[in-house]
Amino acid sequence: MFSVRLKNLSIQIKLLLAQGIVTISALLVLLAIVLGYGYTSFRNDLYKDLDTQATIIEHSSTAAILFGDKNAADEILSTFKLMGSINRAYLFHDKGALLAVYEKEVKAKPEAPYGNKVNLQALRQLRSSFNTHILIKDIVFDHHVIGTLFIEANLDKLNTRLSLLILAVAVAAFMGLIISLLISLKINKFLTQPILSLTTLVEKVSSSYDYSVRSHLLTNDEIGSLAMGINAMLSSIEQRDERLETELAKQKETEKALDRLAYFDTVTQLPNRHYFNQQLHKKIAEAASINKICCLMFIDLDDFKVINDTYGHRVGDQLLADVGQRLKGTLKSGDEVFRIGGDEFAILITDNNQFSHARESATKVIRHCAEKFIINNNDLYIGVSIGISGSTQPMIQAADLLRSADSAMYRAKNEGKNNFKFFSKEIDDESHFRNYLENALRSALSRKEFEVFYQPIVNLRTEQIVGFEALLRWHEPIYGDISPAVFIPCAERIGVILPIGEWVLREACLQQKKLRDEFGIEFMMNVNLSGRQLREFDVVHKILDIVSETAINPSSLNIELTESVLMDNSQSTINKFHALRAAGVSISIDDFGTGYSSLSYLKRFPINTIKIDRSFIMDIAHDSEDQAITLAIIALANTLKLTVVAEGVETLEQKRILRLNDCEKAQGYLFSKPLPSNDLKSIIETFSTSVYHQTA
Amino acid sequence: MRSAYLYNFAQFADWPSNDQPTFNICTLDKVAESISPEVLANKTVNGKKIKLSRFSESADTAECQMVYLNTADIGYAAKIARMLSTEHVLTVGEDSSGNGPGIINLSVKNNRLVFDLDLAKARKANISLSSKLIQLAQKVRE
Repeated sequence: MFSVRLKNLSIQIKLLLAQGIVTISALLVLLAIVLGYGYTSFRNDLYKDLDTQATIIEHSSTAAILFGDKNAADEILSTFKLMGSINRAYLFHDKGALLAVYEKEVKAKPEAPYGNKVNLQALRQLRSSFNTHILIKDIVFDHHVIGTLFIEANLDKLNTRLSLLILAVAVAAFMGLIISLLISLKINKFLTQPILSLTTLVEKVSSSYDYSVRSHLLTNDEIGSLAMGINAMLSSIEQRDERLETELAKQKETEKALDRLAYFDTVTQLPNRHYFNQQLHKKIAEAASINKICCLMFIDLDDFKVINDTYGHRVGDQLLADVGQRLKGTLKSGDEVFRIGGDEFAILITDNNQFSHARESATKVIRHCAEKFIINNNDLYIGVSIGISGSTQPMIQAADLLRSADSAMYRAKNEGKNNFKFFSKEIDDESHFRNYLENALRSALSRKEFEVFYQPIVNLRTEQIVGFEALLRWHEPIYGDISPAVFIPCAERIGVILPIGEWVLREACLQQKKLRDEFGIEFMMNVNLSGRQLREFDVVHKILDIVSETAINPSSLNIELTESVLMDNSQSTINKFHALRAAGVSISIDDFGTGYSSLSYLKRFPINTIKIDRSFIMDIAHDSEDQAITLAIIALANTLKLTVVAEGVETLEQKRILRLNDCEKAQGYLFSKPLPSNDLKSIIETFSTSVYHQTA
Repeated sequence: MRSAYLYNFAQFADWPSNDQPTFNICTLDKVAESISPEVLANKTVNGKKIKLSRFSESADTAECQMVYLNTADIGYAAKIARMLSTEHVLTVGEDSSGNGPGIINLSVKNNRLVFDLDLAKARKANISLSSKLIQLAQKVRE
C-alpha cells in the first residue's frame, strides 16, 4: 500500500524524499555525536571541577578535622555557596560523626530539607542520577583517613547547557535541512527538468498523435541519449506513419475497386450475384414489413451458348450487355436487375398478391428481348425463359425463393422456351422429382443400378449384324426404368455423366472384346459421348486408355456425338477429333438432321459416319418430304464417302426404301430392340443363320 | 585531649632536619594528667616514632623537638621559653591572654580547647607552621 503510493509519486518528489532521508539521517548522526560529545565533555568538566573542589576542601579541611574545629570546617564548606551547582556537602570525622554541613538554601523548604539526621552510611548508599552527582571522598592525612567528604552536586547547569546545545544543534539541523531541501529542489529541478520535458513531449505525442514534434534536449548524459532515442523513434514512427497512410490510401482504392468488382459485373455493368444475394434478403424483409410480396424473376437466355459458340465470346458478351440494358429499360422505379450467372439475369420487384406487376414485367421483358439485336453487323435473335417466384409464404427464405424461380424457369424452358412460368405446386413437384433424380443419380453407379443394352446395327446388303450401339439403362429402385432422355441431361447438369460415360465405354469395350473372342468377328461398337464428356481436356486420353486397357481394336470403336456438340467448333475440339481418328477410332454424328445442321462441319470435322435421325425414317414410306431429306442425306454421305446408318427402322417397307437408295446400314426394332448382353449371343447366331431368309 | 593537640601541632609544623631517631616531646613537670602517653604511642611524625621525656635545663635541647610548658609557674614557663626561643623547639604553653610563653599557647574557651600562635617566636625558633594551623588559631601574633 505504501510502496504503491510511493510508486505513484513523481520522480521529483521521490528524489526529494531520498535526499531528505539522507540529509535527516546525516543530521541525526551529527546531532547524536555532537550531543554525546557535548554531554560527555560537559560532565567531565563538571566532574573535574568537582574533584578539584573536593581536593581543595580535603586539603584545607584536614586541620579543621584534626582539631575538630566545627566553625572552621563550616567555613571551608561555605565556599560551596559560590558554586551554585552544589546541593549539599557534609564533612565527617573518621569516626563518622558529622563535623560540618553545607546545604544550599532551598526556598520551598527552608528548614532541614534533607532531614536533621545526616548519616554517612545512608549517604554512601546514594548514587548519581540524571539530576545529581554524588561524590564521596575520604580525607587522608599522613596516610591516615581522618574524615570523609560528601558532596551532592546538581546537574542543572549541565542539563541546561545540554538543552541549550540540543536547541542550538536542532536549530542548526533544521536550518541545514531547509537549506539542503532548497538546494535539493534546485538540483532536482535541474535533474528532472529534462525528464519532465521528455514526459511532456511523450504525453503530447500520445494525446495529439503528432509525431512531428522533437525534443530539443542537448545534454550529453543518459537523458540526452534518451531524448535522442525518443527523437529517433518519433522519426521512424512518423516515417512509418507516412508509409502506412500511403499504403492505406492505396489499399482503400484497391478495396473500392475490389468492392466494385465484388458487387458489379464488368460485362453488363449490372450488380452481380453477390449483390443480388444481399438485396434478395433485404427485399424479402422489406416486402414482408409492408404486406407486399418480393417477386423474383429468374431470366435465362435461350440457347445463348449457341450464339457464343457461333459468333465468339466478344459478341456473346456484347449481347449480354445489350440484354442487360434492355432488361434495365423494362424496370419500374424500385425494381432491380442483376446478372447472376453466365446467361442468367434476375429482376427483383415488389408486387401485390396477384403478381400483376410481375406478369406485366415478364411480358415486357420477353417482348423487348425478342426484338433484333445488332452486334458487329450481325442480326441476332434471342429468347428468354423466365421463372417467377414470390415470397407468398411467411418466413420464406431467400434460397427457397431462388430455387422456386429456378424451377419455374426450368419448366418454362422445357415448355418450349421464350416464355415465363410462375412457380406452382406442379413445378414444385417436378423440381422435387428432379432433386430426387439428382441425388439418386449420384449413387446409382456405385449401387450398380445401370446396365448397358446393345442394339444391333445391320448391314442392309448382307443382312448381317456388323455392330452394336451401346445404350444405357437405369433400373431405378423406386421409379423403375428411367428413360435416358430424362436422366442423361440431369447427369450432365450435375456432372456425374463423366464417371457414368466412362463406365459405359468400358462396359461396351469389354463386350466388344467378348464377342470378338467368341465369334472371331470385329463388331463395330458404337458408344455415345456426351458434350459434357467431350469438353474434358483429357477425354481422348481416357478413351484410348480404356481401349488399350480392354485390349480391343481401336478401329472397332465408334464414338457417337450429337450435332449440338459440333456447334463448338473450337480448335481444341477439332484437335480431339483428329487425335481419336489418328488412334483409329471412328466418329459418327448421331440424330443427323435434327440439330443446327450446318453442313460445313461435315468438312471441318473428321467424321466417318452419319446416323439419320429416326424422325425422318419414321415416315419415309408415306411422307415424300421426309423421304427426300433422307435420300439427300444418303446421297450427301455417299458423295463425301461417309457411312450412313438409318436409325429407327421398324418396317420392311422402310428397310426396302433405304436399301434401294444405297443406305449402308440400319438399326431398329425391325432387326432387334436393344438387348442385354446375355442375349447378344443368340441374336448374332440367329442372324447368321435364319434371319437373312426371313427378311429376304 | 591535649596530647592529641600536641600530636596535631607536630603534624602541621616543620623543623629543620635533625638526626634524632625519634620525635621527642618533652614536658617540664611530670607528664601531666592532660597528656596521655597511650594517645601518642604508636604515632609517628615525619616517620619518626614519638618519644615522651622529661625536659631538663642541663640536657641538650636538641633532645626535644617539642616542649610542653606544663607548669603552673608562669615565670618558669616564660624563662624556659625564653631559653628555648632560638632553639629548633616548638614550645607549647598554657595561656589565654594572648601573650603566652610558647610559640603555641593553649587555652580553654567555651569549654573548648583553643590555641594562639606566635609566628614571630616560630620564626625565631626556625620552625614553620602550616597555614592550615594558622587558620585554626584563635589569635595569631605576627
